[in-house]
Formats: sequence, structure tokens, C-alpha cells
Amino acid sequence: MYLKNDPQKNFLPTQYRRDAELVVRHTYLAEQFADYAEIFAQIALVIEKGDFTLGEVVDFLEEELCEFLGVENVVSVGSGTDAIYLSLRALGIGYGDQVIVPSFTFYATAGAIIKAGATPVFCDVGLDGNIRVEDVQKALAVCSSCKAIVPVHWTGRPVDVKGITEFAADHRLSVVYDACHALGATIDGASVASYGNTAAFSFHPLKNLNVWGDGGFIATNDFDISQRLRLLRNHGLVGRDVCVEFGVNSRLDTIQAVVARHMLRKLPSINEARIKNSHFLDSKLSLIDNISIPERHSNITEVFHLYSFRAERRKDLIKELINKGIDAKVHYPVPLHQQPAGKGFVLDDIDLINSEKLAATSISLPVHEFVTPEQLEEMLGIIKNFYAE
Amino acid sequence: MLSESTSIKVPFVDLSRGFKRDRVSVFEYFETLGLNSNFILGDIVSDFETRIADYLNANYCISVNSGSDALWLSLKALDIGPGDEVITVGNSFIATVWAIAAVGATPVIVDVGLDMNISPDAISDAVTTRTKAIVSVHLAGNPAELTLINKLANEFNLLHVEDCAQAIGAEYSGVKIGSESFVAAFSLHPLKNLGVWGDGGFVVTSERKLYDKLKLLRNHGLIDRDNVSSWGFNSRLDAFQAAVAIVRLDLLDKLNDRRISIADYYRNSLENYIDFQQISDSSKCVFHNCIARSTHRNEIIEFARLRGIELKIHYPIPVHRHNINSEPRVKCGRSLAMTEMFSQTIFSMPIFPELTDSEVNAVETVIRGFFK
Repeated sequence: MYLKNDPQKNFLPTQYRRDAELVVRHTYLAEQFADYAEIFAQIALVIEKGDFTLGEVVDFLEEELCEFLGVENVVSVGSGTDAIYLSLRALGIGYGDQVIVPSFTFYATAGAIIKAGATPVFCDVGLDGNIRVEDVQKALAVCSSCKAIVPVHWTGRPVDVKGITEFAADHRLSVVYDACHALGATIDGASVASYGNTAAFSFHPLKNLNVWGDGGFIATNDFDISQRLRLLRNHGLVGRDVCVEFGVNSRLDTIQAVVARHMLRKLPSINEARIKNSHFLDSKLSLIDNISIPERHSNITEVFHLYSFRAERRKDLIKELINKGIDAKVHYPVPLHQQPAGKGFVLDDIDLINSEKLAATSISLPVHEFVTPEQLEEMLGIIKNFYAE
Repeated sequence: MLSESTSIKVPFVDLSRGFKRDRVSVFEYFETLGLNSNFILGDIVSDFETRIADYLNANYCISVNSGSDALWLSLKALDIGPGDEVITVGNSFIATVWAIAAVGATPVIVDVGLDMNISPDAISDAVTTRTKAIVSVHLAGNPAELTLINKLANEFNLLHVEDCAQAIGAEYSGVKIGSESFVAAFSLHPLKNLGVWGDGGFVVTSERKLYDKLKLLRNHGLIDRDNVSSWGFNSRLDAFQAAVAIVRLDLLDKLNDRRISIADYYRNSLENYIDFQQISDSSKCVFHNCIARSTHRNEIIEFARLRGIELKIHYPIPVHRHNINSEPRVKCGRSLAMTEMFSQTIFSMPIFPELTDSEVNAVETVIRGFFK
């Protein structure tokens, strides 16, 4: 009865096998964890103590992240999705509340809002993929009970945090930043984590700082919120036997904290490589008329979780790149308001034209630290030839 | 038999012993498969699900991020929500009642029997027009009265969800718990009989429709990489943890047998002094905990502690006694006398399978010593 080869079972193994056939991939786990023996040794040390759940290494990691980001509190959780969801809950956002969120983002941003019991209100973004104050303003105009904004630092590019902060303060809105793409990103030298009521980060295996499964964390300078988050992530338990509020089970495994600490030491060089590769592509792609890359600003550091740009004849370009072994992807081809899941939440009066345009024209290329200069040249060559034809 | 003046220290649980036994196999397994695969819902995770379905002889298995999530997502998949009442017990870990509250339904806590599991009489007594489901718990690995509960579920047209977090490998009338279940939630928490190195859990179900729904719910509602049919969540078993589970699944029957023989020893040699959780002759209890009770509970724990033996209470505060300040509020059945009685008298003895015989002897000797 159990259908081992059921094609509907789980689409990811098939997807992984397809991706693995390409030469220049978005995923690079084997290369990245070539030093896995070191990590095994560290895991062995902590596990010998039986310290599997919220062990002391989790505390060490949280302290190191505070230092790295220059924030006062970090609370690790089970995933980036949960980091957004738990932030909303800790801020008291739930049933009956509306939350403004860009339509052009990964599904989890809205899923987290739904999980908290609130209603997402989809807003548009600029053509760089980031929410603008005007987008929030337009969405707020049609809201009746808006309590919060969840801006996304899309691709690792910081949004206009100063504008958002001011607008949110004027309209008494909470701000939870979806910073899942943006670990290491800065504005005027300050981490994106220092803005908003909280900032939510992800350790998903595809992220700049990745672990061996799901994981995430919340950064906040609000001590009370951080205390509430610590309760919520562990069943609402104060000590072993007293439960003060029904929380959830959303903990970063101690062994994943070991992997995260190992990677945190490498993060500056990982981000540097991504930035260098991206700037190189920028310099060449900006010469091609059929391609639009976002304008770069010298006061912000983008960490290029994705290197994304808009391209004419996208479908054919992707086909060409994939035929030549390059893992060109679309992040993501269907905006949230056009997903079957999003249909019930679309408000008529909001224009989402940029979201639709980005979904229809964006393309992402691998820029991680294992992409070689030759491979970058190869990608550029394919793209140039494609448009020269 | 050891002398009364034993000085062996016995911890309630020592996970490091199992870890030292398993680490080489786990690392090898992960090294060969994990790093070449992927860490999220890759082949290792699918392989684990197939092995569990085979082991339990269940139709479908779907892994998730924790036992709590397994229960919560099961209730979600059954569309249980605000306005619905769900009948359950108050002597389980907090997550059982939490899962009901988390979907917005009202938990209705009813009493348990001497087996420490939900009392079928108390169920019939608590059914209202709003009752949608029963969540039974196989506490400590002791199967609940499935025949009677399923009969009631049929009679009142209720869904029956089983919390099997502590019961992997347990059998009811010769059939493994979960194998014939409509929907059953299991945990892979490190302390569990099949424990991994962090959080993990899974659901087994006889229903294809539920399986399909759970598969979407655990992974953002994604049908494929680019299409979302309904809002879901992020609740996935890490590939690394799946590797640990696969290695440990091979050992499970042996480890459960060891738990059973330790429990048998305690239960036989101490039956004149203390009472134990009642276990039916037709059931196989896998003793996630070995729960005893005595009116001298607190003195026994202190007496044992002074002699290096660690006893614990699962759990000292029943769920309806917690001061939980959130909606929906917990409702209580007519009487919770047994639940209250247990919370005041029970204690759990060390039962982890890596205990040595002399440690088991030491525990038994010290507790017997209390009554001398």
C-alpha cells in the first residue's frame, strides 16, 4: 500500500537530482562542508553531554550572533519562517489583525502571518524587489485593522529602513523584518538587524550562513520581546514543570548550533565572495541593453543571497543557460497574490504591477564562493551571445 | 543481589551512553548519503519515512519537525479549529493539550483510568454537540483502550487522533500502535524510545487524503518549487536527524526489549511496596517511563536522591492546573479525581535501555530499602 516511488510523495528529491546534473549550481553543500570531519568532532563533544535540546552551544551561538550583528538579544528558533511567526506572536499580533507584506517574496513570509492568525495584505515593491514607503502607504489606505508590516530585505539588499521606521512610528505599526536573505547586510555600517521591533533570519541550507537542516533566529534590541520569544519557542515553559502560556516547539537543535558557529566564522569571507562575484557581473551585465540590474548604493552592503536581475525573453535565456549547465533559477515566478493560496487575500484597490513584472522577468544566477572567475565569464558569454543572436 | 549500602549513582537518564554506541554508524551514514544529497526533504528523509511505514506496517508516514508539530498538523489537516471541542487527558506532556489549543479548538480534559490513559466512560460523559475529536495518549508507552475508544468515536461520529509520542513499538492486541490508526503522531525527541539528536517527529495515517494534506502543510503548502495551493508551515525533519533515526530504528526492538525487562524486574520485585501503572495482559507496553505510585512519593524521591538514585515525576502538575493565560481556555470534565491522585503520588524510575544490571539492582534495592 505504501507507495515508495509515488511521484507525488515529495517533489524535492527529483528537483535535487535535476539540479545536480548542472555544472554551476545554486547548491554547493558538498564543497562547502568538505571539512565536515571538524564539525562531526564538535558535534561529538556536545552530544556526549546529552545536550541535544537548547544546549549550551545554543547560548554561545546566540551571544556570538549578538556580537556579530551589534544587537542586544538573539533568540534562535526552528526556522526562518518561525522567526517571523514567533516575532508576530511576541508582538501580540493575531486574529483580526492585518499585516502588510510584499507580494513578491517567498511563500513563508505570508505563511508565517497566517500561522499567527493574522491576515496578510499584499503590497507592491520597487523594481529592485524591495518594499518602499509608498507601497506601505497605499496598502495601509485600504486596511481597516493593520497592526504591522513585514518588509523583506529581498536578495540580501536592505530596504529603506529609515523611511519604514519613520512611517511605522507615525502610524503605530510594528515592524518585523524578514531578513532571511540578509545576514551581514548593512546600512551606513549598521546591521539590518538593528532596525524594526525584530528581524527574522534563516539558517536554511541555501542561505549564506547555512546549517544541516532547518534553523533560524530573531534579533531584537527589545529585551522584553526577547524574553517572550524564549518562552514561546519552548512550549511556554518556565522551568520543567510550569507552563504560563501555550507556546510552540521551535528550537534550534544544539547540533545545528554547532554547524552555525562553524559557519559564522566563515560568513565574512562567504559574503565577501558573493559581493565580489556580483559586482563583477554587475559591471558586465550593465552593458547589455536587454538586462536591467538594480541601482547599487554605496552606503548599503548587499550580501547577495540571490544575484537577481530582470531580463528580456527570460524563458528562452533560462533554457539556454540550463542547456549549457548553468543553474539559472527564478525567485519566484508566481507572486503571492496570484498563488491559489493567496487568492482569498487580494484587495482590489492595490496595484501589484511591479510584483507581477518582477515575477515575469527576474532571473537569478549562482554567485556563491565556489563559483570560479571562469564560470562567471562563461555565464556572461552565454548571455551576451544569447542577445547578440 | 547488591548490598543495601550500595554507593552506585544512577541518573534518571544518560543520553551520552547511547550516543557513544551510535555515533560512528550515524556519522558514517550521514557522510555517505547526507553530504551528497541535500539537507531538506531529500532522499534520506524519504527513506526514513518508508522504513517507518514498513516497521509499523502503516499505509503512510510523513516526517515533521517535532512530536508537538505531528499532533498539531494532524489536527490542522483534519480541519479542527475554533468552536470545536476536543476531548483529551491532562496527565500527558503539555504539548498534547497545546496542539488542540494551537488550532484554536477547546481542549476538554477528562479523567484517566488505572492504566493512566483516557477513560472511555469519561469520554462519553464529556461529549457535546461541539465535540469533534478525541486525542488519546498512550502514556509512557502503554496502549490506551483502543477498541473501546474507537467504538465511542464511531458512535458519536468523532475523529480519533492518537498521541503516540511515547509509544513507538508498543502493541495493542498484537498489533503495533499506529499501524491501523486513522492518524497517529509520534515524537523523535532525544529522550524518546526512538530518539534523534534534536527535535523531530512524524505522523502515520491510513488515509491517502490526510497524507497528501500533511505533505503540503509541512512545507509551506508547496506543490512544487513554484506553486502554493494553500498556506502551510515550515515543519520538516532535518536529513541529519533522519540519518540518526534510520540508524537507531535498527536497534529499536532490542532497546525496547531491554526497557521491558528492566520494568518487569522493578514491577515484580517491588509489587509489595508500591503500585504501578496498570498494563493490560494483551498489550505490549514499551516503557518510555516506568511509572510507580505511593502516598510516600516525596519521601521516596528524597530518600533515593540522598542515596544517589534520581527519580522524576511525569508530571507533577496536570495540565488543567497550569496557569495558562491564553485563549482558548481549557475545559474540564466532570471529575479529574484520578488525574489529581496520580499527580500527587506518581514517580518515574530510571528505565533507559543503557542502564547496567547493577544500576537497575541499585534502584530496586534503594526503593525497597525505604520500606524497611
